[in-house]
Amino acid sequence: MKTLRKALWMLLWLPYLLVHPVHGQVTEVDTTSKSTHASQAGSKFSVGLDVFKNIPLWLQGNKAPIFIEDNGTQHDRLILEVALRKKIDEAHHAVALLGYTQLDVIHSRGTQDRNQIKGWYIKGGKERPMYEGGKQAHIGLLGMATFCQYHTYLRYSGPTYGDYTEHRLINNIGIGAEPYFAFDFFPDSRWMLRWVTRLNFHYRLFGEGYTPYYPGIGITTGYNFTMSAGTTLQLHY
Amino acid sequence: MFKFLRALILLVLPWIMVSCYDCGPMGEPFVDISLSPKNQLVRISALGAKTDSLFRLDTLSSFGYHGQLPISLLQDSTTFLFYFPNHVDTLTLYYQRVFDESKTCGYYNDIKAPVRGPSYRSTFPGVHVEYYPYQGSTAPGRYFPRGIHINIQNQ
Repeated sequence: MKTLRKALWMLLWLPYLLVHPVHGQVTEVDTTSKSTHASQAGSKFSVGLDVFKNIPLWLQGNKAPIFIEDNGTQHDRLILEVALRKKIDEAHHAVALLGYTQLDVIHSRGTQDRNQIKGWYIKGGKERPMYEGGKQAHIGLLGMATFCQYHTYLRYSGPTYGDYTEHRLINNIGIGAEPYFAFDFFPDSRWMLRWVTRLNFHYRLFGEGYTPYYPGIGITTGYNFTMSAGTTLQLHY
Repeated sequence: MFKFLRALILLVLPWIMVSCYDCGPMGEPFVDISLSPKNQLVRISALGAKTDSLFRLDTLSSFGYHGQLPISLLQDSTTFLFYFPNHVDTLTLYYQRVFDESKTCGYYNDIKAPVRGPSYRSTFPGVHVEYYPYQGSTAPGRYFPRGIHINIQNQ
């Protein structure tokens, strides 16, 4: 019953959070739960789960275009991301993210028919409050290591003699950096909802081919060096 | 005057430096064929072809025939059949298929000359085959030969 009440609490808060960035204002958020800031904001350790990344594709009916490259469409995307946050001193927190992503990209033209993508990533780094003594706004920097498998199904069209098809399994390994901005909400004494906006810089060390989607990065345009940005919500306990 | 020259150089230099890149056929490639037969050509086909719709050569009054014919991506050779009123001539072209990937082109295919063995076998007496890559840079105003060129002289 208590957890149910907490879930309802969250549902009440979500619309506000979604509207808030639209207005583009960063104001002192609430006065009602200010007394509970201390328990979560000052907590030594918290575990978080990404609660947003799977929603946009689900809302689009499990089918979303990749606007770049060759008009591929994304299907069956699943992103699981666990965040760990630990206070290391008065001002700083250590942050670690572990993620798994899978995705199907189906191409309508070009030599690629389909890409089945599976990837793991680990990110780790440090963050500090944006303003001295601030509890809500944080900036941080993460380093990352990624491993991503592309099952690439190729089709070279042969209208006269028949198509030439080929399946390639490509292992991509890369490293990167991720500066981010986090804004924290404390709907409850034990819970923290964090709105994270990030920038990704990633360099692929091993692998081949363009990666229209790279786990841990998002939709990308580059070949070995890719850049991306994103925003998401994490629920910490 | 100097201003004008400087402007001209600034405008022309990038145009010279910017060379485009031709990524090749991205599918079934075509070979360029010139044919000077004794008799009139009735039709052309190839072994293993599912359709003959792309086997067409233009008639040139003085030289004979010229056109582009598709080659197979499923094996390293294609055998063309040239039907004449009284007989059939064959030309088997050997090549090496390349399926690769690059930053410029993504996944592409290209054709090279065979590593060993003959480049063709034919019942035509005089055949000349030249191999050029299908892929490569192009610059404005310059001509780069592309692909396989076959010249058949049937004296």
